[in-house]
Amino acid sequence: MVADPRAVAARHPDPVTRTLADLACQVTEAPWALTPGHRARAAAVGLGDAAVLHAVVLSAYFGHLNRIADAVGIDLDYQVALEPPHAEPATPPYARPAPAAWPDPAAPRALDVAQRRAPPRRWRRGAITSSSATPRRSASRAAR
Amino acid sequence: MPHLAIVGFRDATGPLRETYERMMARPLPPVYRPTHGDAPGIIRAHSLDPALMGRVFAFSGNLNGQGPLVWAQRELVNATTSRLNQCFY
Repeated sequence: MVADPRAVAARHPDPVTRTLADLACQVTEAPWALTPGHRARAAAVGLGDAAVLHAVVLSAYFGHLNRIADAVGIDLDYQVALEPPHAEPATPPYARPAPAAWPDPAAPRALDVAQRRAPPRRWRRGAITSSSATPRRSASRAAR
Repeated sequence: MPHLAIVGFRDATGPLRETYERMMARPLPPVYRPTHGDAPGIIRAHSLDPALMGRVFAFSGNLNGQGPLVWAQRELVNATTSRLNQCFY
């Protein structure tokens, strides 16, 4: 078990280990705070985009399994000298940005449905009418 | 103690037993095999729905068996995540 993940992310002598621990910390605590800077730091130590993606997916999937393990209350698989606590009260709650740092919902966003141009009619017609689940008459009406 | 009913491999019958057998036949490093001889607890936690168990851990097997990260790197990400989530399982 990693005793202090944030210390590993900050001070481990191996830069790849530091970077992966930092990615896992970010995905677990504040996934919205991942930035192009994380990607650049990963690339600088030889971790390509696919490696970053795998770290993100693995961390997210283990978050899923962690919640199942705790919610179902499964027993440990191995004998341990000291039973672990169910939770650690000394760990502070997850950091939440101050309201002043919250994004403005009215600000322009990088990907906004309203900003996209409508697809060509021919493409729309093909996409909608090719679905066998849509009756032909409804599909041709929707594609207009 | 579990909060939900759990049926281990020894007591499993029908589709649940078949799912356990299929999962236990997968190639797995010995360190992942619990010494108590039953399936790992996180797998047994899904025993009320064998079909769900199969789907969840098919994803797990595909995710962990390949990719650009080596085993130790994957374990680092997994252990870091579990520690931050305060999951001691």
